[in-house]
Amino acid sequence: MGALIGGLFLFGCRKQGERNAKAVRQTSVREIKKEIQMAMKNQKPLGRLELVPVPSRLGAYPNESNRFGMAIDLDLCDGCGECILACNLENNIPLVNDYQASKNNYMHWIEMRGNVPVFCSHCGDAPCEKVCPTVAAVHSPEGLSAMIYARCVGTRFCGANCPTKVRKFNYTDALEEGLQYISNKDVPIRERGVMEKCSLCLHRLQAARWEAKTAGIPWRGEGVKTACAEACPKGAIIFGNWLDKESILYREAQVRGVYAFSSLALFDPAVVYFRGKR
Amino acid sequence: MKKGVLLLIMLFISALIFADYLMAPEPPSRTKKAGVSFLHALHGDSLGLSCEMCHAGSMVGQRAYMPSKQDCMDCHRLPLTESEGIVALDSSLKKAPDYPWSVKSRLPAHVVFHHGVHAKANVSCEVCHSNESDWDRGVPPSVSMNECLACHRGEKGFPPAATDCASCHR
Repeated sequence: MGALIGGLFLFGCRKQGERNAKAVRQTSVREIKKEIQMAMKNQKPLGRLELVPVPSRLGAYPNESNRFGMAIDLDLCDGCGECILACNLENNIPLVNDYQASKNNYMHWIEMRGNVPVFCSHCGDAPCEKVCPTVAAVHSPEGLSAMIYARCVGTRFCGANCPTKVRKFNYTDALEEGLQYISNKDVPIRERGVMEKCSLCLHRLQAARWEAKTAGIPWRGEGVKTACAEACPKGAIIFGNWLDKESILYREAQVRGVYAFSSLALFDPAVVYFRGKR
Repeated sequence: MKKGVLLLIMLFISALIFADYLMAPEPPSRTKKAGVSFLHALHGDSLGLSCEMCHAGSMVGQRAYMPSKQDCMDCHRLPLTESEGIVALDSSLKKAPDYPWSVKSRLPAHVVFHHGVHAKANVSCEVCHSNESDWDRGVPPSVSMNECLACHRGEKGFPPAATDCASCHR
């Protein structure tokens, strides 16, 4: 009875929209840099890499002319971590609280493993998408493994089924705990209980596609670079369209050794590593 | 006795609901009232001005913007008609701030909409934004995802468009 009255009392006093009105404490870029340094000191081991074929057209979309992807040139990359900072600022990635930090669980979409940046491979045959009960993890015709945050109910099945374990779960409400740094208005803030991961800078792709469509010209990914590729001081991260024979990504892949993690080599990854000559 | 307790509980609950009603904050207004009475019907159909004359970006940009006072004054610095109302209008325009109107988008952060792409596909403003008399009465446009999808599937007379999630969500 007491609980009932208590519940009713809460019901009577709720205030809508208070969270938005309240000024939320923001973190600073300095704190983000400090957290990246911490994460880079405690690196997980890099998994085994093996040779894979050059990513090609997705079987499910035979008429699609774009399949976006990336390659990281391991001969150039020295693991400086600039890509992590650029990604964090681009995608409003929150800091984690002390408890999560003590467990080495950071929200960074890019993490260094053995001084190699590791993030979502956007597998063409993604194991994470198959286990999502609410279809929040879906594949786009353009080859992106997308997350629809509003659909996610936080079962974490996708994270468990990902061979490289690059999906990050929001255990806390970063906005409420003052761990959020909002640096890009184009990317929505993820709530507590939502899974997130590299989106291949989906917002940049969308914006470039709009511009081309409004102008009425065909678009194959021109004018887009992901935040990490833009920030890399060595130019080791190459973004491009695997189906565009003119793109640097495709041409490089013809002469380089194309590698991916053994654990997901069979799932047709769109993000691969270049090493040595073919 | 039992009836009395039940009645008391009912009274308590209704008091709570009444209290909730009293304490609920007013829903935030979507448009800022400017003190300038503007009628779409007078400018649109009767004058033949198209929407993008005042709402910059509605044909090419992601957002359609509200006009600034300067945009009004481009035409209104001359007395345009002989009607008596024009004197009152001139004085209210003089008093108005530089940006008399602003509108907050009702799209949630995870949904994106680009005006230019839709204009390019010959979707006119009225398809989503209803009509002039509704705007003048202050009825906001209301579009649900079901309506977006129906149109994108090609059920509303336009050619089918993308229906994959990542085209409109992020």
